[in-house]
Amino acid sequence: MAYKFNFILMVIAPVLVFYLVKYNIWSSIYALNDLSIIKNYTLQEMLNYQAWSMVVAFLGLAYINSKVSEDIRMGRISAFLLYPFDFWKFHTGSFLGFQLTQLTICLFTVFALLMSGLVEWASWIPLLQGIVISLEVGVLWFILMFSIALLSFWMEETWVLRVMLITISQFLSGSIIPIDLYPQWLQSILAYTPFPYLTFVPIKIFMGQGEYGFLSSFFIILFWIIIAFFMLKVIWNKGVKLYTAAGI
Amino acid sequence: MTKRLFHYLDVYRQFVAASFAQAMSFRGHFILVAIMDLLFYVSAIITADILFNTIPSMGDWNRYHFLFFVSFMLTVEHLHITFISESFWVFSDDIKTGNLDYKLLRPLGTLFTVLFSRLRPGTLFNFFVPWGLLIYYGSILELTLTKWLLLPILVLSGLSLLVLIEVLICMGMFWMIDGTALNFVRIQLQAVAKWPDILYRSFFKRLFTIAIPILLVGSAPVHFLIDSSAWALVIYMIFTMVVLWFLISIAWRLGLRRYESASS
Repeated sequence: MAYKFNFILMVIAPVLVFYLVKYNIWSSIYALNDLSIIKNYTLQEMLNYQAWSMVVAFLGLAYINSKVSEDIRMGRISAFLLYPFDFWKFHTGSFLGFQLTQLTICLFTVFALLMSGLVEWASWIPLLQGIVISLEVGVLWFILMFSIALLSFWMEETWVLRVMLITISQFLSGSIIPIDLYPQWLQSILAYTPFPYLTFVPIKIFMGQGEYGFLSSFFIILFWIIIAFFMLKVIWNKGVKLYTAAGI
Repeated sequence: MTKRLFHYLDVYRQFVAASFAQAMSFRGHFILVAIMDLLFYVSAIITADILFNTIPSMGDWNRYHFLFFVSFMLTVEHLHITFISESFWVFSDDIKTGNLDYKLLRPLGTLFTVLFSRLRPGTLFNFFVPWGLLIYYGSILELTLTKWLLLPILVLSGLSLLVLIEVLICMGMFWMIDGTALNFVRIQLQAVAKWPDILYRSFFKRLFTIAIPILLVGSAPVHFLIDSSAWALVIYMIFTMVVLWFLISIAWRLGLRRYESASS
């Protein structure tokens, strides 16, 4: 029971924080300044944006792969030689299991948000497209997290790099403030990076805003996945040559 | 009393020395921690700045009031991360693995050992960033000499209140066995405190000022520093600290009764 309660708290906490912090903050910002619109965002649109941001975070950016670096550091990769599945299959399987749980949480959250009237939605199509794109972002995020974890072949601790990536991507992906509120020069630079595709673009797809086409976004994210996967293979191939384990 | 205080200071000096020795044996990690914190500070300030590029003011607060608040919270957070935050994760592990036994047996206050035995030296060297920002925005707001003198005390008060709230939450680890979720809740509450109380609506403002007084950590001192007539908030903040200390002493005793050493 202790662990079930633990799990429930970890699932509920982000939802509560979303509601308590972002809902309050954005509502107050509009109210205190008597504003009806902030750079094309009405209050309802801003609240929609923040709600979808939470859904994208559940599906796309929730996976934290601390187990990989631990396996490398503790020399547990050797044990995978005896298992009927290899290191990659095990961690990919863990990721898929995790995503299944996240998808359930996400569907429950979406249902709760729509039923409570906190979020407006146009139709099923953007909702389904948004979920597909977010799951694709999840794959990209998994590869990035895996790549960082593999740096354990060279480094004692990799959590710092993980936190750095999370901090940078939270700031540059538009998960706190929509990217179209950023200065124009920064928006132009970000357009050439994968960051907007981690949060901002999936949110826009959820919101059914036509300028971010589903297919084009899908293929751009796929492009970044291929690049990230290539980088992951290079790190693995170089790192595994350095691997030593006691008792072998 | 003085002898006891010196004894604790001496033990703390050993904790600091041990943390530095550990940190210096992984220099790359040490440098990365410093860079990570810098990134965090920069992103917090730029986010606040971008926000104020899109809105004229935040009620009675202008851009500099808000940035002063952000800097105040960054300073509290810097001290928190450097001196305290690691200990909460260790505490969770100690309860789960039974390592708390060793801390209970030491001839020291157990809470002292639990809270202060772990430091993050890599973060310590970034002190000039949050303090520099705080002084910069404070000078723009033209704080009086008295307020400059009170500023460090108010930062430490904010930190103390934050830690007291977190310790009270973490007492729940005795019942939950695995403290990961409570640590997560603790971090989420920090996120609540990162925004000034003027941005919370009536119910939530009362909730986070009275029931869980997390908003007082930054808002009470900053309101007072901006406008002296808000001194009652600081008094209320001190009052909540006394109440929290009392609640922690009860929860600690109850928690120890509930504690089942994993090693016994």
